[in-house]
Amino acid sequence: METRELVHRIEQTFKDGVISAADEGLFPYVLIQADALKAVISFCVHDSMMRFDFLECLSGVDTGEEMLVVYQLFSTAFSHRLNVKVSIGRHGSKLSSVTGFWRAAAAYELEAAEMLGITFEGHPAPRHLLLPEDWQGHPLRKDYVFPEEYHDVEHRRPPLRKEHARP
Amino acid sequence: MGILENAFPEYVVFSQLDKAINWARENSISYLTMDLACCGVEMLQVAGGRFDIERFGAVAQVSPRHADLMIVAGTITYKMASRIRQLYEQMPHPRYVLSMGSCSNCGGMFSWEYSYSSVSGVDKLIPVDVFVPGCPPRPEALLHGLLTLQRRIAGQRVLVRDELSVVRGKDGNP
Repeated sequence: METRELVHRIEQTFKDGVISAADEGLFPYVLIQADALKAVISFCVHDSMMRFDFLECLSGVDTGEEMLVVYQLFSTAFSHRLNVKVSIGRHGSKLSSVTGFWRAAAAYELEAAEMLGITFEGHPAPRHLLLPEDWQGHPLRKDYVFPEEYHDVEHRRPPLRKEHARP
Repeated sequence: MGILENAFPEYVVFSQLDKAINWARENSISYLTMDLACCGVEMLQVAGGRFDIERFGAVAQVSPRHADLMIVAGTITYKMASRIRQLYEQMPHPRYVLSMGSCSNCGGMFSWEYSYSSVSGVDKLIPVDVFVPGCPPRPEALLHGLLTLQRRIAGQRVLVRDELSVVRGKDGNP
C-alpha cells in the first residue's frame, strides 16, 4: 500500500484515536492517543492489508513540552513503512509495552525507559540496559541535571588555572 | 683500584642494590592493556612491528596479577570505573599507571561539562604516574611515555624510603 493509503486506513479505523497525521514528506506519521496505542499497533500487525511484522526502531523523544514515543514499522510482506507516534505526558507517563507484538521491542523499551523515564507496562524484564543499575535520573530528559558525584568520584573537574577557564 | 681489583673473577659485577633492582624493573615491564576506546587501537599499534614496544622490554599482559603497568587508554565511563579500580587493586606491587589520551587524562571531549556518564580523568580513581597527552597520542608519544616511566622507576629508592622516593597512593607503597 502507498503511505497515503496506510495513513488513511488508520484514520478511518480509529477516528478519535488519531490526533494528527502526515501522509507525505520525509517522515510520514500517525500521531495517536496513548490509550489507543495497543489497538492501533494490534491493527497494524494483524490487518491483512498492512501486516507490519517488523519493528525497525522504537525511540523516545523529549520535546520539552511532551514525551513522544516513535514506532517505525516495516512490513516484510508488502515492503511498506509507517511511523506511529504516541504523545504522553512528561511526568509519570505510562505506556503499554509492545513486546507482545515484537520481541525486539524489549531492548528499545529498556533504553527509552532508562533514558527518558517512560514506564512501559507489561515489559517482561524491566531493568537498566546501558546505565549502572543504581543510576539516578534519566539522562536524555531536557530537565536532567548532571550528578555531582557517583560512587565517591567527583564529577566536576575545574580548570587548574584561571586563564584556562572558558569564557 | 684498591684491594677489590682482581680479587674476583671478571663476571662478578658490583653495583648498588637499588640500581640493580630498578634496572630489572624498568626493563621488564608487563603492561595490562586497558583499552577502552579509540586510544586502545593506537596502543595496540605500539605492540606491532612498526613501533615495537618490546624493544624497551615492555610486553602485553592479560592478567592484572602478572602486570606491573596499567595503560589506561580511552574514555572511562562510571560503569567501567569500578572495574578499573578492581583490576588496579589486583595488580601486585610495584604497580604503575600510564594514562593515555585526553579522555583518561581529564575527560577530554567527554569532560564533566558535556557528559554525565564519563569520569573526568583516571586520576580520580587510581594514582597515575605518567600522563600522555593527545587525542589520540601517536604511538611515538606512548613510547615516550614509557621511557618517562622508566626514568621514574630508575629514580626510585627500593631499600630506603625517603621523601625522594616516589610516593604512590594512600598506602605509600612503591
